[in-house]
Formats: sequence, C-alpha cells, structure tokens
Amino acid sequence: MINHNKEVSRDDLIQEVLDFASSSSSDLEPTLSVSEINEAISMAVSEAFSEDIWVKGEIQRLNFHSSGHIYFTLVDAGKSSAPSTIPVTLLKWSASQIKGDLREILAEDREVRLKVRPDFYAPYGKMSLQVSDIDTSFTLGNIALARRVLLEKLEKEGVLRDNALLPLPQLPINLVLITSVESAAYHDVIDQLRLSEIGFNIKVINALMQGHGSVVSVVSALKHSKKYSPDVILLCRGGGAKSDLACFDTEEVARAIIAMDVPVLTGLGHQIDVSVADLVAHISLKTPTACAQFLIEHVREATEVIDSLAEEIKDKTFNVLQTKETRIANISQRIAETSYLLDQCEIRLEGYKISIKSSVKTALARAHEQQTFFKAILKSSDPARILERGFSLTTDTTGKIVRSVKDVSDGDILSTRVVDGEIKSTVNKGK
Amino acid sequence: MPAKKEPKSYAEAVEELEEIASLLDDRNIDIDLLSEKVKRAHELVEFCQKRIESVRFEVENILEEAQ
Repeated sequence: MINHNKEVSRDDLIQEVLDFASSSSSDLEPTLSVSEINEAISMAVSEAFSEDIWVKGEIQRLNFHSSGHIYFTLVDAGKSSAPSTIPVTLLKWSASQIKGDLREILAEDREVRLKVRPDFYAPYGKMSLQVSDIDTSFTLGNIALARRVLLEKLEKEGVLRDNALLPLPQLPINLVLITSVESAAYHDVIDQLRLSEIGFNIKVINALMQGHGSVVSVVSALKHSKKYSPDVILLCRGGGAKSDLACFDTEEVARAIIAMDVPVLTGLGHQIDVSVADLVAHISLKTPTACAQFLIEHVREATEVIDSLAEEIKDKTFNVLQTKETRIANISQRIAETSYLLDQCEIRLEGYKISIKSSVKTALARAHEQQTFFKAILKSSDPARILERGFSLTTDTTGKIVRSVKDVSDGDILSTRVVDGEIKSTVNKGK
Repeated sequence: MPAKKEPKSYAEAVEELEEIASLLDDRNIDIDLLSEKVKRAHELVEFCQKRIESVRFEVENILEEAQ
C-alpha cells in the first residue's frame, strides 16, 4: 500500500520540482521539501516494485499488536554480525487471509518466506515490507526440520528419553507448576487440582511462556524448581488452538527438561504439533487441564492400590490371629483331656485292685487248705484220740510223763489220764 | 517345683505347649509330672491368648488410626 498526501503523477511531480527550481534564485540548485522527497521516494519504490515479491529471513522483535496488526523485523538468517534488517508489517486484513495459525507459524528467530510489497511510508520516511502472503509450508517445513535435527542430536547423545525414563512417583503430591501466573492454564490446573480434594502441595513458578524472553524464563523456572524438591513438575501453557511453540522447540528448553531429575509433565495447549519439549518430557498432554487430570487419576489409582493392600493386610492379619487362636484352643483341648488320662490311671488301678483281691483270695484259699491238712494231722495226733483208742497217759506228781518203770518208785502217786477221766494210783513195783 | 519363668515369645510358648500336648498324648506320662505339666500348659495357654488379644487390639488401633 502506498501512501500519498495528494494524488499526483510522477511527471507532475517532476515538473513541479523543475518549476520550483526555475522560479528560485538561479544560483541555487533545485531543492525539495521533506514531503516532496518522501513522495518522490515513495513513488519510485512503488514503481520499482509493481508486483509482490518473495523474501525470506528470520523474525525478530515479533509483536502481535492488540489492533490485530502484526509487526516484526526481518533479518538475514545466520548473519549474526551487523545483519541487514527491515521492518515488516502484516495488516489485520491480510493476516486474516492467510491459512494457518499465525501464532504457530510466526515466532522469534524463525526463518520465514514472505510475499511482500516494499513500501515507503512517506509521512515518516519509513521503509517497510507489507506482507500479503506467507509460505507456511516453508516455515512449517523449517520448523519440522529444525525439530528433527534437534531430536536426532539428542537421540544420538542418548539423552532424549532421560526424563521419560524417570519413574513417576506413586504419590506425586509435591508439585511445581511452571506457567504464566493468572493465565487460563494457571487457573485450569489449580482449579482441577483443588477440586480433586487431594492434598496436593503446589508451588507455582511464574514464567513467560511465549515470545521474546520465554526461553530464558522457562529454563530459569525449571532450574529454580529444584529448590522445592518436587515429585513432579508441570510445564503448562494455555491458549487453545492459538499457540506459539517456538520456545518449546528450542534446544535450551529441551536440555533443561532433560537435566531435571524428576518427571516433567507438559500441557502446552496445542492441538496438532508436538514440540521438542513434549517429546523429551516424561509425559506430554494436550492441555493443562489434562495434565492436572492425569495427576489426579494417578494419585487416585495409587490410593486405591494402597487401600486394597491395607484391606488385604487387615484380612490376612486377622486370619493369622484366628489360626493362632484355633491352634491354642486345640492345644488347650488336648491338655484338658488329661482327665481322661487320669481316668485311665484309675481304671488301671481298679485292675490292680481286682487282681490283688483275686491273688489274696487264692492265697487265702491255699492257706485254708494247708490249715485243714495240718488240722487233720494234728487231730490224728491229738492225745485225746489216743486215749480213746485205749491208750492212757501217766504223769507223776510233777506232771512229768512216766515213760519207764525206772521213772517211778514204790509209793509214788501217779496220775493216769484215760479218755473219760483220771485215775490216781500208788506205785507198787511188786517185786 | 518352682514356677517356670514367662516364655520369651509367643513362638516359644507354642513350642512348649506342643511338647506338653505330645507328652500327654503319649498316655504313659509319669503321673507325678501330670499336674505340673497341666498347670504349666494352662499358664502357656493364658500367655498365648493374652498375646493374641493384645496383637489384635494393636492391629485394630493401627487400622483405625490409618483411616
């Protein structure tokens, strides 16, 4: 778009300049006013660039203005010392005609291919490029290429999966949330975590999540998070479909994530592309809300496992106690059966008693028999029996049995016992 | 006979109880030892039951606190 203060043709303008020169003092060279020279340049520029042309370069000082216009500076890629620069303007209307998410395509330090018309804005004497189209496939291709190169580099170093391979704690309660405080992402995560009623301990580190300075801010936030010794770090950024992932495709951010010794969860709020940060993170989720929900679900699952283990331990403990109790009861029962043992002893004793009794009886019987036998013998030798048979027993006065004639003398008084009495007699040897 | 000391542990008590029970199973136990053994067995049973009860109480308390 070319700006004119008034509608004049190039020839008219030149004529005007010549007229002015001739009307001035003859020793003065023709002299133009600033507006005139600006107009002349503007016209020369618009004539020189009658059609839009393609130009490529790196974006710097990108500014998505609230008016809807987008401003940035284009510089030659890879030329760090004194590069050529030119301001670029993408007007709101032109922007609306370009397919694709401009916040994703346009990013700081990114090489882009733009269809532009050079424009000299006469009032300010400012040269700029007016964008009419963007080669999105060039830009996206470049982004993809850069991503691939970085991923291959990290893979080759063997660090690509370093964070992913860290074990996710069973109860990730201590969290560090790196996000732009008061952003939609911040509220989404905090609200979800609070609603869960799980006692998460959340430390929030404010960081610039897109645009100039975001890389330094995110890397510094990640480093800073270490002092809180979190179980997990959440790197979240909202913004729905409109997203600028450039920061999360940088090597600095990727390496900062890799260097963390706790899992980093990303929720960068993009729908289609996956950034390098997502790929080196422990887990990548589409949105901050999904990040929070993932954590909540993970903690709930762990809690359920713990609850069920606790229940199992409780059951098993009581079973053990029950078994022990039964065992003691059984032993107790066996001990109680001692009375049976005593009964057995008694029975045995009773047996002894009976056997003793019978032995005694036998012994007594035998004794009785012996007694009878001896009685009979005695009976047969009883003097009375002998007397009965007609024998007699003679004793002297001293009671001594008279066995021989020599035992007596004449006149001795003898006592003779017969079966039915005693006969007294006097000895008369009668020689 | 002097009373035997308290068992060192539940396991020790059960072991001794099993010994006494086996002895009594034998039926040929010396009758003079019988009352002594039964008395000891009762002491051990009481010890074991108390131990089980106290463990059960402790476990219930722990589980209650955990909830």
